[in-house]
Amino acid sequence: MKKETKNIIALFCCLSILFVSCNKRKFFPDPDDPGLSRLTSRGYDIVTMYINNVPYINSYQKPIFGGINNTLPIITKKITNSAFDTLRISWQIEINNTSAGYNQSYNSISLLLPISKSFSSHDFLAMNGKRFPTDSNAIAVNYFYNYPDTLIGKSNIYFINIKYNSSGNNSNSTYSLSGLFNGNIGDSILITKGRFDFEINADQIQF
Amino acid sequence: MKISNAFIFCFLIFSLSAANAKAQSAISLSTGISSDINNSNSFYQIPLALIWKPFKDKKSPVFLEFDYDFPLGSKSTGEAFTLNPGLPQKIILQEKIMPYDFTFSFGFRIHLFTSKRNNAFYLNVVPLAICNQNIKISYKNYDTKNYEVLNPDVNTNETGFVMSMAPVYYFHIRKSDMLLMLHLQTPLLKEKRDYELSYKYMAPMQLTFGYNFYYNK
Repeated sequence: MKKETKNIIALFCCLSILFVSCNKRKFFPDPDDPGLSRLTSRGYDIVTMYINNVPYINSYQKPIFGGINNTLPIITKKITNSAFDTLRISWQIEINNTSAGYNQSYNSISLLLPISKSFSSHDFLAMNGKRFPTDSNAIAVNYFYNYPDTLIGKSNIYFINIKYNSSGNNSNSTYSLSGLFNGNIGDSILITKGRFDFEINADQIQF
Repeated sequence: MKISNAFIFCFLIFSLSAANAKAQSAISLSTGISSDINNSNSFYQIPLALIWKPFKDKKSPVFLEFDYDFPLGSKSTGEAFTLNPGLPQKIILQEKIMPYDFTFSFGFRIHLFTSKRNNAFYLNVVPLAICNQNIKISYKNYDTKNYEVLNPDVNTNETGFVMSMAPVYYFHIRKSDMLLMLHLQTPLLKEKRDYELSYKYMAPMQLTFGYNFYYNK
């Protein structure tokens, strides 16, 4: 076989592998809110929102093989010195319309809820269907260069669905988590139409 | 090959073969009622079926069929939620679903029997047809500024292959040639949707009644 033919076959194989790994990320555009995904509760692993009318979405990972994975939230219980601890739900985010060329881009957002010192997964599940108004919660956004949770404001949070999906084996059990949020940080940062839908492994929630 | 190209290719092949035939041809036009049998919340439609059989010879029992289903409208509900503390946190919206369905079929018919009165029973078989299913969704009184519908249904316009079969009874009333047809069609033969909707691909079951016209006698 000629060397040129071998090169063509090798190139074809590489392109085939690349093509197979080129899946679309999960994003289901909402016709009423350009740049945002629809409000869902099916474990699509999407969070979208407007920050000052710019659409943001959670960032994604693209391994060489196996398609595209939207990044999952980090859910932690932050122990404080006050009477309450804080439930922190954070996402890595990016602008969902890179062609727009905005100057300033936020790279993470966190929902912060005051919780009791004895907060457990049982209490987490009890948040299902509850709406938490601005007088109790906070919301934080971060740039690459500011300290975490220094840009903090008020937020509304609504957990439309929190569910534990038991598989009998704890390592395969999951939590489904979906809802709405909005908020503001002073008058300069306005977060609107936030919506999230995730299914995460139960062992990633440490409370 | 794109489906539209396949459609044009099949149509041209069939038209050419029909043009070469020197025989009696027939056109059937029928209408009735159609019900989707693939969804629990069944869609009802008014079908219009046009069957063109260009050959007189029973050994060439091929036909072309065009089916268009006009929607009668189906209702469902959707849950909507809001963060606005001044509004109820959850409401139920009425959802209107308008399903349109167009199918182009290229099939053959099997003669089952003919009675003494010259009434005949056939089985129309379509191993592969092209179908377009266009479903339009609207939510009544949807306040998009304050509320978000959870897992909303959205408009879809999907094309794919289907299979179908239809027992057809040809009979005579006075001097008119009539037909009665029960048409059964599979859902679209394609992968599940990426985004899950409350309805699946339609599988219309049509009961139609109409006239059979002969020409080139």
